[in-house]
Amino acid sequence: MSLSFLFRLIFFIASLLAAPLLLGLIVRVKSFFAGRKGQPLLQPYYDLQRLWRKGAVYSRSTSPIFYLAPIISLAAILAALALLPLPGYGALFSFSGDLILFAYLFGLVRFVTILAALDTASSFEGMGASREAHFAIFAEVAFFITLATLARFTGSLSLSTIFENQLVQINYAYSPALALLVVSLFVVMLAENCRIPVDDPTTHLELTMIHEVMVLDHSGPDFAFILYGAALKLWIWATFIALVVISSFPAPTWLQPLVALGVIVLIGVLIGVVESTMARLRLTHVPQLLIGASVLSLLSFIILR
Amino acid sequence: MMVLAAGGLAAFAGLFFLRRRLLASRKVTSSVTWDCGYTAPKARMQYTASSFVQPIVDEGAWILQTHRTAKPPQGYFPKEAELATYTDDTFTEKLFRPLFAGVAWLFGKLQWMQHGRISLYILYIAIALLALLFWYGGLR
Repeated sequence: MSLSFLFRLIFFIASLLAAPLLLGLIVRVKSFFAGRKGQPLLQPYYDLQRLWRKGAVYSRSTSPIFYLAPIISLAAILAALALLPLPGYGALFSFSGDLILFAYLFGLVRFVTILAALDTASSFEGMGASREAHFAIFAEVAFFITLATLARFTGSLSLSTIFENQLVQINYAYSPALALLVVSLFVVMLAENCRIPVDDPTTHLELTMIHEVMVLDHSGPDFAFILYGAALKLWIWATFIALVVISSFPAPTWLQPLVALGVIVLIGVLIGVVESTMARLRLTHVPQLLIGASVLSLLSFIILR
Repeated sequence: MMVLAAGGLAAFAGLFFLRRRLLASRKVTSSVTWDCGYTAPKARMQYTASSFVQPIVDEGAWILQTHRTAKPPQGYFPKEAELATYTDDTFTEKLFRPLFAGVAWLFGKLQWMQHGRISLYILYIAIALLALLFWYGGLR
């Protein structure tokens, strides 16, 4: 077993352990802005532990799809994590074309979540599912243009080889175009992970929710799977953005994971700041925001060649 | 790639049995779907397929051209109200049907050639073969 493989394995396991911490960080930043003391940094872990120990309540109108969905989505997110490269060292698994699989593993997560939401026969959950599917159409475009930009620029179809070498080694003039990609990815991350200004993870009104309303009927360990999956998904997105960011600054290989960790923390703080200073957008304006992100990616696609 | 697929399936199986084990010794009850306090939901109140696609259908209204008839509730205690939407297959109705109707009309104009006299049909074939022969000769 090579040293590099060991590092990748450590990264995989460390991600599994550290992911909920990012959610805790966001909440702490929001509490700071609100002038509150805020919940402990480890609160997401306590929440998961509490749900882990509970029994479950199932709606009489649900079928096995309902309890299989959280399992399938968490398994898909774990597979996506295995494709995510450790900055400077590559991913646990990689093959040519894995970026398509990476994107569509999240598509699978969304698909089964929507199925489970419709399975409950609740109008609230149907509405949330409808919005989720609607926004995903636009978010996917922005994400795929971003992936296409990176793939064409590096001539590679695998995440590990895309981020193997630093993207700006060739020419520093490319940095601004990469910055456009980072902005676009940040917007898509907010949409994909149901953060303000697209969705509010703390809202308690069914009619205004998107993602939270879809999982309203899940309870106990099923809900723990969903919350943990959401934490991992945010972690994966933050790491993905960190990969693009650090490829714009030269750093020795051994230092790259540490710089990436710094960027991930920064992204957590930034999400907290965005959520503290912005209100949600009107639902009808969300597609415009995501089309804006697609345009930024497209601009960068034209510049980077 | 195979290892990853196997790993994903193993994660699924692992989580499946983990959940079963966790819930085996605990209270698992069934109840109604979360209804936000409304206790008499009926199957008619379900979110339908057309409700599900409504946001994207609205955005594509310029091409989909959904027909909509609505009778809004009137007065304080309305007895009735209705809403019906119907989305045609725009490409069938606006593109393919007129196109194929046009093609059918055009070929209808050539029906005088189809008269049932075998001798003339053989003449058509001979003319076609001759034309092909000359065309082939021209290519050489």
